[in-house]
Amino acid sequence: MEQDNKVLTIVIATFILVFVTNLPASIQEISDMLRQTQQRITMAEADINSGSLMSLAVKFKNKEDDIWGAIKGVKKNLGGDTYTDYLETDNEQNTEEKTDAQIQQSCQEAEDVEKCVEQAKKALENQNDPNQTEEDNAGEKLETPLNFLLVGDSMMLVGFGPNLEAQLLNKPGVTAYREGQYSTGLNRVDYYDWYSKTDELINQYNPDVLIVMYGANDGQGILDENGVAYQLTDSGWDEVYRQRVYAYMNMFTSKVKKIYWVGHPITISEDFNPKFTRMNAIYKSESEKFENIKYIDMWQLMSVNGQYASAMPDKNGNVAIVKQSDDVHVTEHGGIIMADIMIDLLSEDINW
Amino acid sequence: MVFPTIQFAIFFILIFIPAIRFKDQPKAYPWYILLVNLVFYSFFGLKFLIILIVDIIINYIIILLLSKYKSNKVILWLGILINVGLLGFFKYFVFTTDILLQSGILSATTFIPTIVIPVGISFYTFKIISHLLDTYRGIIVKPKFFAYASYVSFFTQITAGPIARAKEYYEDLELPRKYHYNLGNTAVLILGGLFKKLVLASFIFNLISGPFATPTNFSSLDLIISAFAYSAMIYADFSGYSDMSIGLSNILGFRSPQNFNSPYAAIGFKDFWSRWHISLSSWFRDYLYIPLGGNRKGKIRKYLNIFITMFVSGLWHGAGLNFIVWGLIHAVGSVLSHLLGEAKFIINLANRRNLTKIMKILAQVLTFIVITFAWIYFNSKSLTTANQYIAGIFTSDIATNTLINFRLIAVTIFLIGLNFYGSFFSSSISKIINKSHFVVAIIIISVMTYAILRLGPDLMPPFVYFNF
Repeated sequence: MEQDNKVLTIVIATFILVFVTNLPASIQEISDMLRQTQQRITMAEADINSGSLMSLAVKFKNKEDDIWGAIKGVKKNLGGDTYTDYLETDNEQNTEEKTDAQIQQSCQEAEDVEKCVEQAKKALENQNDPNQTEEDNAGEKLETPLNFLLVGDSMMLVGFGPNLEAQLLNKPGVTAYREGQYSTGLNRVDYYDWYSKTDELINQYNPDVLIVMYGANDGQGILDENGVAYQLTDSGWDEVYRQRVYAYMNMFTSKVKKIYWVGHPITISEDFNPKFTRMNAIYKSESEKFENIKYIDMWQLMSVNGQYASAMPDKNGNVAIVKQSDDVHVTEHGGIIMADIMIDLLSEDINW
Repeated sequence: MVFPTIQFAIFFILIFIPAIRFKDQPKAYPWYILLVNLVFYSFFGLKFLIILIVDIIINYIIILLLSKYKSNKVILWLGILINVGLLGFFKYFVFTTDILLQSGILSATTFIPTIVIPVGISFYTFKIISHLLDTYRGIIVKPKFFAYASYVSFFTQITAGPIARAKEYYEDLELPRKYHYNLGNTAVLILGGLFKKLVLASFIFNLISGPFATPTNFSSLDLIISAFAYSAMIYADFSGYSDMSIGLSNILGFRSPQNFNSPYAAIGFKDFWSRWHISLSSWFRDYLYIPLGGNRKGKIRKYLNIFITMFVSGLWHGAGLNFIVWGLIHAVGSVLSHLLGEAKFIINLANRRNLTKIMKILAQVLTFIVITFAWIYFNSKSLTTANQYIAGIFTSDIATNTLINFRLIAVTIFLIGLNFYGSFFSSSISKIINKSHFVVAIIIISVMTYAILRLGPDLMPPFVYFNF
């Protein structure tokens, strides 16, 4: 009994230490556990009066984070508001009013600024011309050598991502780098900031083509740029998520030659299907605002006669189950099929 | 809900407070532990909980029948077949369906239901089978239902072992004075396990998932580094989880079988399996190898029994051709290990004093290399990818090395080094904790926990053996 009391004391003391030293993250985790979305508690220096005890604690905490990061050899994932600089403003929504100055600003970090400006202006013209088709905008095919960057959630980590990477690497003159993270997306930037991370990867690998896949973990409560929460059932959720998607596209459209946004394949899950349908619609609509972003309708492409199929043949006729038991991730066979589909679609835009 | 999470910490604090009160009450404590087990398992999903409860009820009925009709082989085999069948159904459903689809027996338009493997079914099914056999052999007398249910569902072991034996569990459950654990040793077990899993295994995982996913994109040196790093990683991941499980079991008053004993210090496959996942290898020894005849039916039969036992062990680990190959490597390796161990010239060589140390080191290195080679099949997503990986080690089109990373190599060497010096570190830390004033011990443990959590990743990859 005495030993047990000691253990209990130790456990509680340790818990308190960890909880207090990581107060915002601890509160966030507990609120997630209780399945409530509440306003984030941030320790951003801007929110706190400088010189106060709290601001000193924030500075100390940030310094401490840097030290632990240096030991681990990793940079802290910023997990913050990177995307807010790229939200669609009212002015941008009314594209006729976008000025040359704004276009120049959005293209200032592009590798080929002139081309970026040209593409942005073309995109504006297309938005005002409903008769413009994708074929009209097709333009010239990309030529190898090409460098690909593949990013996304666990769909990029297993199944689809590795098989796509492997098939790309089989093409002459093609290099590819892939990075995925479990349980991430564009919603919970407080958990993992794909905006910052993609930017970092683009600066590091200088890709020509960016292939992205998000959404599997985004079907949950979301905070807008002002910290107001929206549940999935709230009517405002779609608009907030649309802004996240737009911001991501806006952030990188001028930094690469082409972006492919892979939508979610059809599932049999009553839970995921409505979410994926909504998200896919958002990905499609937002991609149409950018000339060099192409939405890949995996929902249709991975269905058979418009219906969910448990098993599908690959291009060699081998039939096997395509989805894992969670109805979200694909099996190895499903990943091969998706990769084959992607390569065929890429071949419409690329001279290998 | 897995161990190194804040949710589990809160859960454990909440259940431990009443546990302290109930521990010395042999009538109440088993009920309390059963309740805790069911609450814990319910976090994985209600359907899994229902499967577990139904499984427990069916098997308890079989135990009642075995107790009543002693030495009835029909009832025993019925029980074993039900459990093996259930496990096989869940684990091999997709694998079998794929074969039927590829052979054309099933068409692509056939509706195939989604089958979700219940969490921990591989582990608790083996507990159930061992209990059936021990009941049949008269090692265990008929237990009370709630004791049996709490044994099968014991939350510290259900997700990834160790596969504890019922006899010891019941002894601990029914003792009024529970297992007296050493504070320092238990703290080291839990913190050491947390450090291995959360810090070291997670770190390696993030770096080597690329080579195993697309080996053709990496140089030969990268693939070699990655292979050894994986050996280190799976050891850290699994032994770390086992250590935490054992520590938590101890705190609740239960002994728990040791699961790892410096496996990479092994000489030969036979020795390796006496050190790696010990609860599983001893299970296969007692419940498959010995019933097959063990070494009692001549040498050829002995080697055949070893081969079968190791091959089945491979199948237990996963459904896929790569797991079958992994199992075959271990099966062949184990047989060779026995053969060489009995070869006279080897024995004579080993007895020459001036060669003993050199031979030992060489044998350990060779064993480690072959085990690492086998792990490539274990961790690859398919047989094709595994073969690509192996081929890439010898010839790769990629000249650039990306995995010459000081931290990765240091962590890999450290983890392998733990196999030789780990007990020294753990006993030293344990002594410090035990000899310190209680307040100092709190500070030491709290600060160590904090450091481990800070060194760990922001995002934690899944446990390797959680998949089983």
